[in-house]
Amino acid sequence: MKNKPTTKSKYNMITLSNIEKVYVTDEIETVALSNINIEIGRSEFVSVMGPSGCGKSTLLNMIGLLDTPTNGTVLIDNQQIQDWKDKKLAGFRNMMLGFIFQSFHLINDLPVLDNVELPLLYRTGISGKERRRLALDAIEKVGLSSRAKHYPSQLSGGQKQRVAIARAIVGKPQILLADEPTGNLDSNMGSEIMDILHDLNRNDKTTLIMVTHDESLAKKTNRIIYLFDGMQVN
Amino acid sequence: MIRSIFKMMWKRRKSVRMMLLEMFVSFILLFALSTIIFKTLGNRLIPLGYDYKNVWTLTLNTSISPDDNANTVNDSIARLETTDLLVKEVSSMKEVAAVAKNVYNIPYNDIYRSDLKYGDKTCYNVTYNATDGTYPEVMNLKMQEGRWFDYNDATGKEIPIVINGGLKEALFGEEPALNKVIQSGLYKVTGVVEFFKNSGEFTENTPHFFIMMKPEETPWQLLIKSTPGSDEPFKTELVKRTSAIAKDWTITAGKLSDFRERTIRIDWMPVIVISIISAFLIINILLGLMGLLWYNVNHRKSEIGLRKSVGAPASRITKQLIGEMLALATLGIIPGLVIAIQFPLLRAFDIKPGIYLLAILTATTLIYLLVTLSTLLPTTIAARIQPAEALHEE
Repeated sequence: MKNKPTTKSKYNMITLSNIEKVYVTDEIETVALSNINIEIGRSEFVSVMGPSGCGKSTLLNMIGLLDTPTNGTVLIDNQQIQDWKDKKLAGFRNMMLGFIFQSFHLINDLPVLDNVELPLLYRTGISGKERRRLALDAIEKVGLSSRAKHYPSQLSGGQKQRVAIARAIVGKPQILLADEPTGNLDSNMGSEIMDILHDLNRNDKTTLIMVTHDESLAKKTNRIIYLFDGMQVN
Repeated sequence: MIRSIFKMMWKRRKSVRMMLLEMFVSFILLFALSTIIFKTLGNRLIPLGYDYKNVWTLTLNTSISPDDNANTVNDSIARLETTDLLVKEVSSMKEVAAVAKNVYNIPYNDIYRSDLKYGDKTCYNVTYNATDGTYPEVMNLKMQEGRWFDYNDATGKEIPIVINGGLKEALFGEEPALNKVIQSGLYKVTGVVEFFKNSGEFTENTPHFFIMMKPEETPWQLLIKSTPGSDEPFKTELVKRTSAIAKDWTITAGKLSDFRERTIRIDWMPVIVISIISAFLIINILLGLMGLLWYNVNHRKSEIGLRKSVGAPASRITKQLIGEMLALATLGIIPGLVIAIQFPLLRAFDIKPGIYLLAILTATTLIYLLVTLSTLLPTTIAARIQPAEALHEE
């Protein structure tokens, strides 16, 4: 039985149709996602919930074009990206998508400013000066201007996640994907991060998809998508 | 991008200091090796100045030095008579084109050296040999100025000498050399041969001079020009016939081409030794770099995944990793460059600055080339890493 897309809009930012993801290792097939049909509108803030191992991160990877589905189609901004070559895909990811990870994924050998600049390094036509200005703007937006020259090892968990958010938004992407962004933080820091994400959604009209285990955080978003055992649960 | 790479490598300098040291040592060794090779090959382009082919040396060991004051006059006369007989006997052989008497050095043998003075100029360690008028014919020498000496020149108190271009430049510079009297009136220049590299092809046209042998002097060697194709049977016959005349002397024959081969082997020995050491170091560097990159690829999967997730195509990941290794190489060779650049500035070891600069360029290029080669396999694997898979690595 096929699920129907959960929302219908002629301005969909993301459309997943009949997505299936199967991992094959040592002749063992693991179905990570099956029959996923999701539509997410522009400027929507959607949470994805479900128990561990239900395929939340895999779903996020599909939306983030970090992984390819075994079957089905992914449309981002009405563009089908299935057959795109690595370079075009990377360019599209760079322009359209921003990622926030639970474990921050900062480069410890680079200071905050350089970490935030990272996505702009892979964008053509931006001078070093402009990169710096945009990175400083993003750092200011997350309230870390005084820490621009610090290294990640000198920051608290909450500050690291703010750096990760600054890095995700520096290129002004239309979609932000957050994989348990508060998972490694205490509740105070977690709510600070959530405030930033809500601001980005409200003020910058950024489409946000957030994977979380925390129902209270999920309830503050526009919509919750539940997954169980790789399948959507209505 | 480049700034970011250098910043990362500088931050990681402690963890890669062994590699930095290896890069530095390798650079210095490659610089030394390149300098020696370019210097040696550059010398090879300078004409030898003589023809070693079909020239034999007949070493006459009378067991008594010609300078030995204990010699009796009778002994000297006997030795001269024997020498004349030997020259006649050798000259009568059908394979022999010319015979010259010689004392001290022969080509490819530079044991005997002397300091020469002219005015306030001194030329140190000049090689020399004493010979007669047939030497140019035996060695096929070309006169640049003046003429070869003969016994008619021995009328003055100065001993006639012929010098090579190297000695002319060292003592007289741009001045003419002919008839100049040097060494406090001991020698007088009768001619100049432009090139005569007594120590062989791979040396410079270092100063050398030929002294006219005194008529009463007993030669140490006879230099014999033979017709082409004369080989072992000729050598055997030569020793047999001369030993029959000078029964008390020990006579041995050799070919200049054999001495040449031996000298070339000795000249290239440092090149071979440094090459072997460099090869070991280079292999070590290659393995070290590959190991470092394998480590990087395996321990930086999440970083590689992150870079891909923020928009780095596979080609940029490859460039990033190669760039990091090149940055590492740059950090390693900078101290080497600082040292190497002193050599042309100081004109060390009398080597032209151009050779040093060429050696610096070669050593730098080789290091960068090797680094790039060693990174190809690990970076290709790194570029294939899937971002989703890599982001789950911690």
